[in-house]
Amino acid sequence: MIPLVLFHNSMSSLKPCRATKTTTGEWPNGARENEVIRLRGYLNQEFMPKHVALIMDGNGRWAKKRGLAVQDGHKSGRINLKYLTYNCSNLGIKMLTAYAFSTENWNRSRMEIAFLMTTFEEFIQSLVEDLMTRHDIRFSAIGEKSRLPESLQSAISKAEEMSRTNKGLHFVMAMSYSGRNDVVEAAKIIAKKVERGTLQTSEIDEAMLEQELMTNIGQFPNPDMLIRTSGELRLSNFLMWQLAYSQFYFSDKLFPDFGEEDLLEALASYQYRVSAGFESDWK
Amino acid sequence: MEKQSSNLATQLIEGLCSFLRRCICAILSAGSLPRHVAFIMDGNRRYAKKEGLLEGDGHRVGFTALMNMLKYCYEMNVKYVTVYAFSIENFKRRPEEVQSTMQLIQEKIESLLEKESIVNQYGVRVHFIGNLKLLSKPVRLAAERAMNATAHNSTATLAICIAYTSTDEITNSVEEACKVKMDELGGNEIDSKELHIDVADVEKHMYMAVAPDPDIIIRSSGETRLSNFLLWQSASSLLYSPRALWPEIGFYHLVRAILDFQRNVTSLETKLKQS
Repeated sequence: MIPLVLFHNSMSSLKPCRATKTTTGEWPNGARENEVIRLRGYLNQEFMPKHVALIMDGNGRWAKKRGLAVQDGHKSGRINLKYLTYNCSNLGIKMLTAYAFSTENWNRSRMEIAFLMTTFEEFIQSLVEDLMTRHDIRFSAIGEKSRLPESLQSAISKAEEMSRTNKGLHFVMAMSYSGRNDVVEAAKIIAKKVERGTLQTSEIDEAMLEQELMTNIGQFPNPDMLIRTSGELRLSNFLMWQLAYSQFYFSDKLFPDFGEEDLLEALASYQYRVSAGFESDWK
Repeated sequence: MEKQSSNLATQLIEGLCSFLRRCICAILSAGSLPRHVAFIMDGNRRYAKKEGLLEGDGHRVGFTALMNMLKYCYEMNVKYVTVYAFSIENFKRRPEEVQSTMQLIQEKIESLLEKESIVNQYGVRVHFIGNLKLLSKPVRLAAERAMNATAHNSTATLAICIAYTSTDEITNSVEEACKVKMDELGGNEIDSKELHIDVADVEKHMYMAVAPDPDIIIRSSGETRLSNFLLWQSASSLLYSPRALWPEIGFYHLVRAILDFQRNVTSLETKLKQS
């Protein structure tokens, strides 16, 4: 794809000389670690993005490529997400918002939806047991939580309550979320204020609308960069308002294959653009 | 004599290029073509710096590139084209720069109304999208004149986003929706209905309600941001970022974008069926 090639051209000096993987797709001993260490060396803490958004695309295709069931793809995706969260926490990123389930996904088969909901519960559980206690990670969920099954809703509120005072990486999971619905819900809250007479329509401004968005929960509500895996070059109704000035990074890798070295490459691409200064005509 | 022959040569080359373009268009139309293409015209200032021109001249060369891209789009039967001409953020630049850009914009709006302009050639209806109250009076009047003069055209649409940001568009739409609903409520004094706003209400009052959602958004100069452009409408748009600066953009980039679009359309349709 031309845009992805162009990203690589613009940082050709940073392009890794890929060590060859073995036939099973595994990295030879030590090669992946070397790659990671090499990429880490390029990164500058000063230009690290504060808030990274992630569209985790490609679980189904990953499973299909290996002749596995879709559920196995989602399971690998869940495990990979945990590692990525851990990596982001280590790199000093302050917020990570992951697009787990969009409102459009409710059209999928009942079986797949049920499996996904169980996967999310398992993920939250593993976060609680592991990353929250050892790495001080804070958990939040955004989206139409009322549409989620009861057990998942209670897992979410339990995890949110437990980690409310944690000071580490703030992990936000978007479930049953849609960027447009987010804006419309904020508009409804403002409309209520207008109806009650506490607000005049002429007083409605951008800051007011932004404050009522679901993402107004962390210190850095707007992502500095968005990473989307599996080669799709679109936003698919994720964090629409909040991505106004975010850098996009599109990776060809399917989500379960998106490892630490890919994350580091994405961050290096972001830092290259940011440190080069905004010479562009547009912010 | 020399001038005549060089004119003839130019005409021949023009004719050949036009013929080649029509061949490529015919080939591309074997697949689905985008209905709406949007452009973020980034790179004029960098181009001027690169070529050693005065700053304002970068925008002038950029305007020529825009006219060419419009010609290619309308030849390809792309019915709607949107361009990001001036963001509300750009008002924060140096006053002299803003002033000269506004003067150039006014000059070019007036040139659109001339007989040989692209607007009349392709029957284009022009819309100026944005918070036009922020513009100075002469520019705003020129824009309104252009909109009125082209209101009867129906073959194609050109939406020029000026004094525009997407967040401002959405906020304005919410404000309008609230106003309309309050008026409706005010009329009904017996029945007190709740002030109910939904997606359709917000979309109805958008400045960009004159066009469907863009199929492709092309941002030149290799930057990979939307910079507050068509955020609401870009949910399923293909994002394409060629490295060429805006004055360097050409037919080749449009063809590549459309090929990418055609490749994605089939995979998007299967994905929509799945999800």
